[in-house]
Amino acid sequence: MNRRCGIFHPVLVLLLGCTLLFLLIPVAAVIKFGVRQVPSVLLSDEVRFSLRLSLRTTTGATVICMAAAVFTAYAVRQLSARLQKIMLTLFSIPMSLPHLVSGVALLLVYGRTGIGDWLYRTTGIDFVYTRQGIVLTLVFVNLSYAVVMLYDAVTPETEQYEFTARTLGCSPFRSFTQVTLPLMLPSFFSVTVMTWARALGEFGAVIMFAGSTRMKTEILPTAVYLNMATGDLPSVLGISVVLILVSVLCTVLLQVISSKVQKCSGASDA
Amino acid sequence: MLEVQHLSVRAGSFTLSDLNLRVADRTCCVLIGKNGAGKTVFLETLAGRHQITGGKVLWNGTDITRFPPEKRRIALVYQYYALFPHLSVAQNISFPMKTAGQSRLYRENHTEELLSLFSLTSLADRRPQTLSGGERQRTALARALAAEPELLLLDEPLCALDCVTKDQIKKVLYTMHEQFGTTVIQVTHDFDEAYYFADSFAVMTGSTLSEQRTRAQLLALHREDLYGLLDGSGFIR
Repeated sequence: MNRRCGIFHPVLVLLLGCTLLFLLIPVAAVIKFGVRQVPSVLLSDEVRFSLRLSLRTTTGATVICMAAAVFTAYAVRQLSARLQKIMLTLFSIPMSLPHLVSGVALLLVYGRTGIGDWLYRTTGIDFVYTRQGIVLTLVFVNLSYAVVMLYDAVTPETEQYEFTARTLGCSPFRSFTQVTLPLMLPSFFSVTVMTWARALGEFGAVIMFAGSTRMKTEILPTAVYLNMATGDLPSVLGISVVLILVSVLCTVLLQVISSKVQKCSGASDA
Repeated sequence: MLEVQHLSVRAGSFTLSDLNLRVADRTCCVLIGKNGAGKTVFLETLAGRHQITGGKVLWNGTDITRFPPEKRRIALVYQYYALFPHLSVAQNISFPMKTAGQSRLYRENHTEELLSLFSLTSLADRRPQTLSGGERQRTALARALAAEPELLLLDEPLCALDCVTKDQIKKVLYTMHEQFGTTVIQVTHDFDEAYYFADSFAVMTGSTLSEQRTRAQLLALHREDLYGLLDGSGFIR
């Protein structure tokens, strides 16, 4: 660090320290008081069920989100500048909804009064208070974030690479798969990590749309809520620590994979 | 022969209008213009990137105005190369051959030939971002030639290079033109490049192209005359 920078850098370091403390002290408090409860909550069938269901629904929703977001973000980039702005504004609407409202909106559309009723009658698929409902909710809450984040991954430089590929004989689809997708990989992985982490912690929309029935639609965040409602604080703290550990472990794992892929592809240096 | 007839283009808010140009086979036409004159947009339009609002582009009598870029057989080498960062030098060069569905054996042999021709053999496994400007330029030229284009568009190929590398690339370009006989349109704002390469030249100014002139006419011009053309005053002593 430059020694002639006067007071500016010490102030920056101080701000960094304050921010870290503000964010990490509550997390540390949960870990401190809850870590002793972890073995006992892990022995509980209910917690093991909600952990498994959380991992399954979160992973499923992340896969669906990312698959849809890649193509949607790319499609938005193909539009004129004006339409791109309009699209981004439209995508920001679900992002700005309170999650409880998202749950209500899903109930209105995919409940037994809207499209959901038709879907149930024609295909037998029911979303309300079911596991598929949890996945649908997680996709709804996270998809617009993923689209907006991936939109930034397709830069004007990427478009130039893509056009160059076309002058070298690629069809539009081939230039997308051979050039654009590899160049999007670093962003793709970081957005995947973010989407996964957000989905794992989602509560409000899930409890509105899929409910929290014990051993049926109970995921880790709703398990915390249910136990809190019954005044079982030790279980709340134990489950919270499990949630934190799973989140950190999976995020680190995804980041390791992401950095390895980036190293292999070299796209991050572009 | 390339014939551009009364071409008008819109690229975002930028427009070019009533562009006319004729480039004979196996010759090099140099377009001179100041920064922001629309040289790159013109090249991109010939390669199929921008919306053509009027006029025609003919290649050997065939109207290619509405052809998609991949059907034109026109390769474009950008000023900053646009080498694919996720591919090695060798993979960049073999990219057009892979796209064309050439066999692995053909790709390997032809890539080796091009690597050798452009003195890139020792850099075959390197990523573009680890190369110098001259090495990147040579890679971009080799990749463009690997596509076996009928028309090669070069966007200020020497502008970002130091004088030693510039001389090297000049020789590479000259040799390439002689050896492959590809028709070339090269844009520049450097008169020396024009003197070196041009069989014919035109000046781009005020979003349009001036009357096209021959190499003999170019050599007869003084620098002040070219300045006059670039400024759009058209002053020639």
